[in-house]
Amino acid sequence: MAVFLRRFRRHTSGMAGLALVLLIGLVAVAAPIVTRDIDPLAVDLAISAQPPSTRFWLGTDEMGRSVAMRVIAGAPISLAIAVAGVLLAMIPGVWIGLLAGYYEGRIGSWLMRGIDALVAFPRILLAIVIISIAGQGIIQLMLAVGLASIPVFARVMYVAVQSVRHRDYVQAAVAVGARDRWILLRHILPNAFAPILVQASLNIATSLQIAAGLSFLGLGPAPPTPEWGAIIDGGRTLIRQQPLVIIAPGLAIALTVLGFNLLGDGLRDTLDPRLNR
Amino acid sequence: MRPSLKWPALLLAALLVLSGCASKSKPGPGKEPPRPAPAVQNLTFIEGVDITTLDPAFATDRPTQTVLRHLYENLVDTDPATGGVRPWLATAWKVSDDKKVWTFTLKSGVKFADGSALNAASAKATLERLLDAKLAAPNRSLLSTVTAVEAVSDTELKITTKEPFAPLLENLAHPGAAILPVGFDPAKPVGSGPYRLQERQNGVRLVLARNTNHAGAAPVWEQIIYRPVPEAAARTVALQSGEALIVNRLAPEAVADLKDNGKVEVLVKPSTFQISFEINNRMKPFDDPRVRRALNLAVDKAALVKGPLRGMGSVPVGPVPAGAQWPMTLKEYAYSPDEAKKLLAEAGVQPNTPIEIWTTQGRYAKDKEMAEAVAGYLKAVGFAPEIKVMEWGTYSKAIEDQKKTAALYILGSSVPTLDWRLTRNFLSTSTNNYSGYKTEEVDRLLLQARMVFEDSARKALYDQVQTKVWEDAPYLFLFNQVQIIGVQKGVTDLTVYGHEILDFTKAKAR
Repeated sequence: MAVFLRRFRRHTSGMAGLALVLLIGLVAVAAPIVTRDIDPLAVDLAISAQPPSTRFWLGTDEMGRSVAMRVIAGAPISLAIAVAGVLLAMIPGVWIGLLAGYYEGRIGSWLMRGIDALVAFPRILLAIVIISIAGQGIIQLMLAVGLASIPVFARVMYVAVQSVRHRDYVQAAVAVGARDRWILLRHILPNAFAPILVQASLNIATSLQIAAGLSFLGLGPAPPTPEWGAIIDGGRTLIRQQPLVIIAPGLAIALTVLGFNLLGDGLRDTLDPRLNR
Repeated sequence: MRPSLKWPALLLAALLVLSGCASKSKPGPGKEPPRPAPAVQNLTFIEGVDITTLDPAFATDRPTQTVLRHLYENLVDTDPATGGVRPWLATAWKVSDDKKVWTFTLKSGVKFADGSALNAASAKATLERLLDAKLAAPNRSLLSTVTAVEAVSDTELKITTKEPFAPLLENLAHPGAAILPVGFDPAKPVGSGPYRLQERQNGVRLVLARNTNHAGAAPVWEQIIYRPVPEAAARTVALQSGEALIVNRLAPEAVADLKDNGKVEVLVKPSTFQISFEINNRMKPFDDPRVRRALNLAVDKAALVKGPLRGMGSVPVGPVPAGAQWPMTLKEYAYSPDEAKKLLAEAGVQPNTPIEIWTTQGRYAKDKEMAEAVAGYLKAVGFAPEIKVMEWGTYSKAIEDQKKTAALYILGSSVPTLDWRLTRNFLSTSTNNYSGYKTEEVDRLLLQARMVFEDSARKALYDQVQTKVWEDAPYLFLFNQVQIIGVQKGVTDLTVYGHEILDFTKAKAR
């Protein structure tokens, strides 16, 4: 662990990613306090599509709402959707991969064939199918993003398990008569977990993109929820008059995605077991 | 880090190269000469949606009816200037003394595009087909009281109704009652209009060619090419590039952008389309007219027209907009949140009463934005609004449910004739009355008006209906739409009906 930390600290882009992620996390946590004075939901058509001013420092959108406040208020929502989506994908995905990788026989191949079938669909398409069944809303969007990402985690875990499955320490555990559960949880999972951690970090970025994309298409939480993709959708018609309505949430998405990607890359580089030798 | 960036970059480069090739090597229909030459023979028209059918009995939307208007003819026509009825295939008509038997005299020598004769037998077959319960055509209710159709001779048609039915004439002018040949086959549509169908590719294009058998003057255009382009921004670009002579349904924000463009012109025409948030009259507390009036007072409609609509619309001053048959100017529900709050308090509405607002996206001008704005205004007078956005197919089914949880849901009405418009929406027994509005007075007046043949007396009854409906406010009347049509400079004589049907036969380009 200490080795890892030391190595990660020297990874410049990884640290930059971590800084970005922490910054956005801070914004998300502070959002309820920051938006206390200017309600990001208060409609006032008299001040619609205003350029930046001292009160509205990124201007206002079509409904006369503060763009800055909406983007800030959107941070906890967009992040929560992405993180919850990843957790929803990771927990079942990891278990499917773990079991399929360990029990190589019929169970494993059946599970993985099912997962492969899902991999064949683009993730956004799977998410749209789930939304059209579950309906619209924040919870539904989390579910859609999460369920659509299960195959990714299952595959990564499966491959990781396969790589340690026949290592000597696992064989030794089997030889001394350890039970499957013990072997899975004590020997295989910890040693196959690094790629999952990397995948999770990278997946937050893609989940955020998918969630924003779905919102942009009108499949996200109901208005006036300031989800970033929804803000962009609402600002589309103002692209000439007040481009900040699109640029601000777009930049927020880009920075968050960049942050998680850099962090993920940093984790991958520093957690790579080959670097240990 | 590096390998993960290399592939997307390569892919992007490859895509750019490919897209560059595509635009050069594929001269699709969109790549006609950039500017219509002076002696242009074809008219390209771009709409927001594709047509839904070529069978008049099933045509319920205006884009479809615009195309059908060039293929078929009716017994009578709506006069775009007066909104009244004028002769078309029928040159004269009279009603019997008991007002139950109509006799129409038809033009002789009219031929369908396939050369066969159009006579009273074709008219009889058409109307009987429309009335056939087995066909279950949505336009069947146009003839709801007709009991018999008879071809007395080649040029004489007799229509009998169960009761005196004053709106029959205007209903026969509806595109749904267009005259078809005996044994009409929707797969091979044949009509007597100035054009015939030449080619149809669903969702791509539809080509109409001159009907050489047409009796009247030869139409200006050799061909009319209809193309659906769903994205409003893409339609604006098609107009700017000269890809189309006429482009319908430009976005409000495009008007300002096109103002300085010397090559195109934007026509802003009145429309009979009125957009409302219908109120669920069955639901408490919205069964109380005071609450419904309060909703109308709580929303700043002038700001909605000025803001999201960029001034392309007007604030309703009655349930029937100008351009329809007999509109009335009533007292505007002027924005007054204080008065709204007072009314709500009077009706005993508690603060934070939940109000569910349903909307669809992309069907009406700025529909989702309207829901957001209305939610904002209702929050300001003490409601707790919640918005639900649904895709149009799901939405249109959901609002038909009598037990829907929506208190407000957006819907438009464009019918120009008052019998159809008002009975559909406000007669308590109408299947289209989704709001559940029900008053004995309006029911009685509407049914009575059907029996009155004298225009001023009939208008007086509809005036009473409009006044009562306006006062009861079954809807949150939102705005009157305008038609925003883009044309290349020099296009003249385009006929634009208030109910959003266009007629190209006389249109000229310089």
